[in-house]
Amino acid sequence: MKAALLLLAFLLCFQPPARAATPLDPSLDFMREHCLRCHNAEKTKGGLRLDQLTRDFSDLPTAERWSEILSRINAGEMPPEEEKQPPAATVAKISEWIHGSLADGRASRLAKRAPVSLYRLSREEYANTVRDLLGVPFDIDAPGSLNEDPRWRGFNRIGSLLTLSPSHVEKYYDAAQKIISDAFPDSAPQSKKGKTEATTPRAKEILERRGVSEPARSLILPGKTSGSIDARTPGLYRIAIRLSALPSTQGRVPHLVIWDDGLKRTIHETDVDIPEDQPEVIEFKIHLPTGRYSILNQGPGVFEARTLSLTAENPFTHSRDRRWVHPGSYKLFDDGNRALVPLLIVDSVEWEGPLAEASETQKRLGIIPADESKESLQQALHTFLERAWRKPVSAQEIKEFVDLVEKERSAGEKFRNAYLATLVSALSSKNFYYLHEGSPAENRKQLDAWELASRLSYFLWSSMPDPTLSDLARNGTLLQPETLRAQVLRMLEDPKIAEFERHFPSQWLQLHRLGAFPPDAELYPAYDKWLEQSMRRETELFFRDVFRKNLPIREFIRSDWTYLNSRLALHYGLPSPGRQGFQRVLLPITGHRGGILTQASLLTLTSDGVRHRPVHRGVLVSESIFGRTPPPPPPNVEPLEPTPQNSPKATIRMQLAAHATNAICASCHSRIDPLGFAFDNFDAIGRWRDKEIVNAGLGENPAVDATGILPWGGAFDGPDSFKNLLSRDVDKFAEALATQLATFALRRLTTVDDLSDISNFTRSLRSSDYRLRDLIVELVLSDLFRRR
Amino acid sequence: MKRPTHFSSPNPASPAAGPWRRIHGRLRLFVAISAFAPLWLDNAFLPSAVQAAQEAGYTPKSTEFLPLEKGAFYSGELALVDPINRRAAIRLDCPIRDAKRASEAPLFYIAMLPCGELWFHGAPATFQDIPLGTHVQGYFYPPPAGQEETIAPPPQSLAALIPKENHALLLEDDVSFAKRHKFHWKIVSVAKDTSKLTVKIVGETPLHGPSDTQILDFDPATRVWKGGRLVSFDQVTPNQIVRLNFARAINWTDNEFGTNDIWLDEESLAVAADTQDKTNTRYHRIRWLPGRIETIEEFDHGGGMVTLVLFGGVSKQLISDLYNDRNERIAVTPAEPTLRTWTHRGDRVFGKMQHWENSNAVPGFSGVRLRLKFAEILEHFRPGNAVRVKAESWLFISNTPEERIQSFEHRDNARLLRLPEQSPAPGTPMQNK
Repeated sequence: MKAALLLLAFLLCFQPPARAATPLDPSLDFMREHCLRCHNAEKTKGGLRLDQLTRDFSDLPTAERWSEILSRINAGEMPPEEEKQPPAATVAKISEWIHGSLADGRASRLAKRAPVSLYRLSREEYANTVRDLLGVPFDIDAPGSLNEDPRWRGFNRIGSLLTLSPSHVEKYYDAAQKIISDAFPDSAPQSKKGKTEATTPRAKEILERRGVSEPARSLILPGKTSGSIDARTPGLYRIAIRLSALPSTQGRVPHLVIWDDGLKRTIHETDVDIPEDQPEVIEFKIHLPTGRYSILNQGPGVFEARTLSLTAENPFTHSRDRRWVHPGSYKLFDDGNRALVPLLIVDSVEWEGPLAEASETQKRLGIIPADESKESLQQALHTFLERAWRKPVSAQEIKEFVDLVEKERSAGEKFRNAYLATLVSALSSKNFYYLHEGSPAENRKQLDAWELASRLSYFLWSSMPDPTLSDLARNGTLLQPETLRAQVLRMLEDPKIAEFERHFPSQWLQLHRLGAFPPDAELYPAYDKWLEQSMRRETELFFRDVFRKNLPIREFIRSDWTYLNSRLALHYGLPSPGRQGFQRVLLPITGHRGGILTQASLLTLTSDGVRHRPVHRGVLVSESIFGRTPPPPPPNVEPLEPTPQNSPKATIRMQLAAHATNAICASCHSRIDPLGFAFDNFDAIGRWRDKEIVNAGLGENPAVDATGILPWGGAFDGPDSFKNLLSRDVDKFAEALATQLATFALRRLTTVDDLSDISNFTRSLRSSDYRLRDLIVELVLSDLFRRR
Repeated sequence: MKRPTHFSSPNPASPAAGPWRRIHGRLRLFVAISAFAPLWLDNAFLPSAVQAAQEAGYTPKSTEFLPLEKGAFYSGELALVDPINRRAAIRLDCPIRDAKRASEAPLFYIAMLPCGELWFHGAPATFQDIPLGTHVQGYFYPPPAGQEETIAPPPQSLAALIPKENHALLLEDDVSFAKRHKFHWKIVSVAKDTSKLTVKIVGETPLHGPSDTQILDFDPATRVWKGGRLVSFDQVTPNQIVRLNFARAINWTDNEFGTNDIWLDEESLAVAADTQDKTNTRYHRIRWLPGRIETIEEFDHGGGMVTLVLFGGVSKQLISDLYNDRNERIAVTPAEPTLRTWTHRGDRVFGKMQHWENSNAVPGFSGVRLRLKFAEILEHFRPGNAVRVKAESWLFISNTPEERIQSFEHRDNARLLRLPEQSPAPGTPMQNK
């Protein structure tokens, strides 16, 4: 009896570390027959070795690997076509086994997670939080500001990447000091005014002598500046510019930029399409850091200082009067008096600031204690800390700050300064720039109400919860599904949703890469910063439209509309929208545009500044549409050899032929390259072409070949048929997009344990054609969103 | 713009200097002679210059090269020059028994067309190379459109004596003319007692020009060249085949000529031509090669593609310099119809050679056409406008103030042939029309 009990105890205690292959486990036979020949110790095709893969499904990396295997088998990618194929019944058996094992191990995997997760705010989120907390703009691009956030496939808010170093801590402290100083200055800043006019006394004298009655105007050439705005104190400024424009003969309008002369960056920009004879005043308010700013006509072109010195003695009055245009000045008008390049005509620049804006100052009400009593101090601290830290504040935490005030005061500091020091301390705390999820004392699987409020607001607004959301978190009702639904619908209508509309597509589609390889000026002389910015803006506005109108996500693949301004229309060879700024336009049927994949932004960011890169385009399509990132290339891959001068000209596709013939290359590239070749009709900056311009080699430029076959079947012969093929089945895209949204919302990579949730709430939208807004609402209402 | 009552050429020298000192060298002669100019210059009934040009018939366009044979041929003695503005005055040859011309004919004031060529001693030249008194001949056209008022027409009473075609396509001395038309002179006889030399054309007789037999005066000032050196007149003997330049003779009213230079062999003329060619090379390396814009294609983002042609009448060495530097940057600067520039170094832009085309040279055109790509194009880059072109290897040398155009007012002044004492003070604005 005793022996039996001992044996039983032994059996109960012994926990084998890995799940060994059992007669019910079909994986060993399957692996031996279909996998281990290529993925063993000697041969690790695709960098994958499977002979040592354990069956420990409680281990997350192992589970991820098995999930990938399942995915490849189900997609028919493995075993490769040329290998012996398993019967359907065998595939079903192994799939079921893997699926079941993953599900069995889920609880163990979740149990292994740390009790507390910390996610640092990104720079934009930090600045937005400061703005919403105190009404103070924080310039994240100023020199010495916060460190740039690392990215994972475009996402800059992944918790595991946003680490904290001593440098970060120092910068947070410096930032906190500046923010509190700007929010609560010792004395209110004095507003100043300034005005610069084009008609100077000297210009008047010269024109009078020449018998010209019209006033002088400032003619600004592309790349040149005029006027000056002197912001000695940072703050909100009102700027009024009286101006007009002369579009170029090709229809390009001048692009006005408020230019930071010191830091060489754009503060504000807009196209100007106002007739020369009917100048208007454009007025706007913007936040300006301390500095000097000019009016810049942003555009390509080499215009050095010659005209500036020549026109000082020959003031410009009107385009029709060129009697005193020096022959050595730039040619700006053709023989028909039409401008050759976009020209800005500025009559005056007026500015005033810093201005006090009620919506900003209101946010600071109640932060400074009403008096110096301890009760008032505690009350003010409690209010501020709860708002700033986005969670309930304990008495102990408040006491620490009260003690700090008393310590400062006993050192001789005034009450106000001592109190402001606590605010600096509060903003320097990790409670401010980190999102906390979980508790040390318990291993919670679900978010509490405060954590849910923060996750929701940083998902949709990239900022802290507003008072309404905070109140619902405080009373716990946010956890109720109806309340949560009502809140997410409310937040989708709030103007702050513009942050989501801007940040999510930018990160999902990796728009930060646009401009990383500036196109070669010799090859693409018409490419300029405004064109680049217009490309980015098209994608942002396109996303915004799909989102706001709750359109089916199929529009991302294929649409008959887009957003254009005159600059982008010129680039695409399409008619100008006719009005200033971006307009929603219907696309011509044969225009080859529509959807995001043929937008210039994505086509350009995958290029290297000299030529297009079909493989990179294929990778981007795979990641953004199918949510699959191909494995990286093996080390020491040779770059493409240039075509010898005495050989016929070859397209990039022809040079990539080795990808198809070399078995090692083909294992990956057969699934990547077709997705890129579909867009070979677009050059490195997204312009349509029928022939590929090849500098080296003999003969004519070869015709573009944009044909191909999708890895899972389906032939196409160009971008239009490619998009048609993809749009027939958007299930995969819907899941991929939902995964991207989840990554953005949860601030972490999705795992095998998230797949079923994603699949569930995505599939529920199939019948309504997967509309984008609905997808977001369902994500928020899903178990996944409420789970840690 | 009100037509001035006297001709002048502008000379924007320092306003502090006295009026006589402000006048450039050769123009002092201009002033001196014009002091005796007939009163017709003050005549209030001057026919309109534009009308005169229209009556002359064909008006050259700034974008074309004109055929020599369609120009009007005139010859005479170079009496005055304005080398800065490429203008001069010629006393036209006087036909026999033309008493009116002999006693009353005013000087024939001319301007070179922008592409107009000057030749001296068989080589390209400028006015500052050709001595006053040289006998010249050339082919002339009415003023191009827009330049009708450059030279004021004479008064009606003397209009018949002065041609309306006052813009020269080609102007050259006798020896250059003879080389072009492939004829020599044969010494028929030398009469030392009467100081007369009889010569006869050998070779192709030109359609225009001197009659085929001439009796020329000679005197101790007549230069005789042989073996590249000056020799004595005794070396001139009958039956020699020579080259020679005419000069004014005692009986100039009877269309008789003298001779200043006689080249007894080709070697001597080659030395003279080579010297002149080198002078021309030096001149243009300072002021750059003249040409004009033929076509231009402006880019939307600034810059453009320009085709320009180089004028003839320049040393081949200069073309060769430019060709050797064709892969370097090519400087191009605006020029007036007089080929004057403002500040050629300050105004120039650089182009990159896309194509060099050689074709047949015709009068005014060197045969060289260039296609250049510019990152910056100038207001002046319009078809028909004159430019100056520099090879990269040429040293930059500043132009002198009197050669530069210094203001719009100065430019407007300089577009008209003027006498200096009638010039407004520098900087004085022109009166509007």
